[in-house]
Amino acid sequence: MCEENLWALWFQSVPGIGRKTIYRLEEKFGSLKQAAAAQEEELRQVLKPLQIESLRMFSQTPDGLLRQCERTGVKYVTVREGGFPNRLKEIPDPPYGIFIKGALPEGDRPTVAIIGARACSAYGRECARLMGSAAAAAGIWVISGMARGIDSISQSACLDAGGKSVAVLGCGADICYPPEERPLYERLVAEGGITSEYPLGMQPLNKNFPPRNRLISGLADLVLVIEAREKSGTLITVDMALEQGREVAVVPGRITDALSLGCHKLYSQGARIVISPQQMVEMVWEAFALRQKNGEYSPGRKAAAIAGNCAEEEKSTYDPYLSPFLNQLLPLLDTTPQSVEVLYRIFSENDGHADLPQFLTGLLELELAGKCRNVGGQFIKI
Amino acid sequence: MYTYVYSGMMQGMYARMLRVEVDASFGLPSFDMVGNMAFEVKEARERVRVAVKNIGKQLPNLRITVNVSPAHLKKAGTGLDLPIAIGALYASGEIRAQGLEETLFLGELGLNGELRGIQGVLPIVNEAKRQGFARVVLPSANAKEGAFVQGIEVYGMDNLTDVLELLSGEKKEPYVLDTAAYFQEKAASDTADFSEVQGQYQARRAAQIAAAGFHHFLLIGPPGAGKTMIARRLPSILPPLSAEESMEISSIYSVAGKLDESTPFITRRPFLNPHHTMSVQAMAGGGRIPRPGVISLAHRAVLFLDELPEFRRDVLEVLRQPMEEKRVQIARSEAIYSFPADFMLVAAMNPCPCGYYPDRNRCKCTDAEITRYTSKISGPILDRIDLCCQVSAVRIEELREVKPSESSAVMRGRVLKARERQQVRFQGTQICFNSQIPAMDIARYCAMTKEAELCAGLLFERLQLSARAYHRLLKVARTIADLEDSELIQEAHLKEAACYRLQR
Repeated sequence: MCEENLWALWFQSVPGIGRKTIYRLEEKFGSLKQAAAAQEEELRQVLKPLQIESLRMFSQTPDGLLRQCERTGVKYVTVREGGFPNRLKEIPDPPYGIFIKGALPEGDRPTVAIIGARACSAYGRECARLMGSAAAAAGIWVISGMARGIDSISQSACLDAGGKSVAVLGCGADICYPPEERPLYERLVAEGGITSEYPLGMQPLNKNFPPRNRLISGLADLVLVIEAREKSGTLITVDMALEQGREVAVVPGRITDALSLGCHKLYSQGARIVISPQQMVEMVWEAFALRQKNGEYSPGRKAAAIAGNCAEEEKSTYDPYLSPFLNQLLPLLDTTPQSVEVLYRIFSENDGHADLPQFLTGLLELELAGKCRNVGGQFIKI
Repeated sequence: MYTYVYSGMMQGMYARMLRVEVDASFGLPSFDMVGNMAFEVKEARERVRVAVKNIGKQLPNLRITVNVSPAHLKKAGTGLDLPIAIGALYASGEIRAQGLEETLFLGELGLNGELRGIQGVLPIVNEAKRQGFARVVLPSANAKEGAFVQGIEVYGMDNLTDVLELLSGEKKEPYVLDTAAYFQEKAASDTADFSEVQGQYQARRAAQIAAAGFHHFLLIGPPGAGKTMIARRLPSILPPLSAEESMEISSIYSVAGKLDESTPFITRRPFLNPHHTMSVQAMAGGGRIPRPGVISLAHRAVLFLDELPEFRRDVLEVLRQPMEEKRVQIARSEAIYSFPADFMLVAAMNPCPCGYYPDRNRCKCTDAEITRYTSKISGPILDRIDLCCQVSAVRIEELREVKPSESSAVMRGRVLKARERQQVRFQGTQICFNSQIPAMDIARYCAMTKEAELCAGLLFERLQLSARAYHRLLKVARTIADLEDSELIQEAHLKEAACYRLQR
């Protein structure tokens, strides 16, 4: 690492000094190396007294910080270097440097940010899974925040399907937050990447997350929202995306679902709508192509990717591989979990004839056939 | 002169026969009592002295010594007042008495000579009969309770004078109770019936399976869905109490001091519904001299734990040993007390702190909150619950429906048939119900058809069952097969059982 970058790493690791200050320092002194050597009087013109105090108290050396990075397997890349993602260079208010564990998508790979509610419904879960694996199949990187719910589900699904994914964290890249996502974190390091603009060891503070969100949208060609309440943190990311000129799309739900209200509002404000994983894939490639005006992008690859996904035929409710009785049960199921009691009631009201034991047996057969899933004693359609 | 009379007391669940020895001889007048007595027993001296005076008799100025043997047993309770009084009067030559050898005396004395009720009468009388006593004299408050034991004359007396008259040979009628008629009268007053539950077909079905195989049962559902209502009606579909069962349960209640004149013994299967703030001692039993806890009071009946995750963890953990061994042991320095505790655990809980998960329109609990809530119940407890059933809220149409639902009597009929099949199957073994089949005997008792065996393998793999969950599945399927009157477990039985599995 060149000396200039070492000093960038050093400045970025000082508490209280953010990206804006570093840009200002660079402008004032010509280089960060000179800024580090500057007298206190000179610094006073750029920095606030608290920041100067903080600089003086900071005991680590640039070399020490570099060794710490090497020890934890983290790379530090500044905006002045080639390894810095082009997508982030374009956004307003770009970070001066970012910490990377694993890898980030090259400019020639399409990306999609899949974000949404932490406390999501079974339907949201299912959508996140579908979208994550569809992205993987089409060679699209999934960008998200590794949060509980939609974020981590879509990222896990993407990795499961052999795809690549990146998590942008609101803490140091060496810290796994939320802690229960440790397995996902480890997989991301190996099969994708973890990135953060915060120095190593930074705790996941509340104030870190809104700036973090701008990196999620910044790294993506398309921002896809699956489930958000009317007042949701996800909408911050959407605002950032619009500021950065990124395309925003939503997955629709039902108008009675509180968790879909945020998505529907976005739609009515002009966001695009995604009604199938294939459509999401197309939209990402479209946005990607638009960005790659210089012709790096080859249309053949897009067509192949879409064809692969469209091979899955239209789903009809009637399944010839199931018995007539099971076909009778299939339309009862829904993407909202329903208890056996409710299902049996609807079944009986629609002139279905079976006693409860037979009905239960039927449900289990559907579960074994992969047509439905038992969520804590309630059933949902897959 | 030296004499002795018989009495009894309870040590945990064991009735002990005691010999109250009294000696009256010349010397410095005194009234001494020995024999490892608790203070309430020692106080008998004053009660006896005053009561005797107040009925117009007098203890002569002799040196009276009382010993209660076996002397190593710690004597507790107030039932020894009467035998001490009789012994003292007889030894000092104040009264004449017949048949002291074959009579057991129990009862507390009031200062006016009145006899007052005591605890633990039923098991003591039962033991007295076993040891060949011909009659028992006890307070009239305990007469019904004692008369439940057939084959021994029970005299319920109001005061000491009556007892002395009886002993002098005067004709008194023993208390006779028509047990069968009494049972019928009490059983008819059972009010909670399944016909009052509208809908809830799955929960009804699961309740029948649980009752037939004596499986532990978990109800999950939002607030107000009717979990408590269903649990409360479970005793009504269990088989009626047999005389032996009633004796067994009543004995526990007697020791716990829960029997009185209005309920002299237990005629219906109890339903225990303790509040979730209860202590470990209340659950398992405890005290300096241990008394039965809730799990013993629910012996051969239903222990209902509403809001399961709200119970203190240590209180739930205490259930582990009793659920395995069907009894609970409480150690004290003087002895280890053992109480029977073969109960059917029926638990109810919400799926999450707010109660509406997985309905995400109403539930805003985070996954972590839900996990924290459900993980309050330890794995070993959940591992012992065979059946799990989701209860959903009732709709207004169903509430308005006038069509009566299936009654408890009809459901009980099916349960009884399934119980008969189990009785035949487990003849000559320690096992009573399908839920008790040990792992090594599963293959023997849970025979399946060829198709069912294939299906079982499939279920094991697809549902990713653990070995223990697989065994639970087979046991529940066995009970379903019994309910359907089938000797072999069919494929459908297995699949239905799989729908009642516990989802974590």
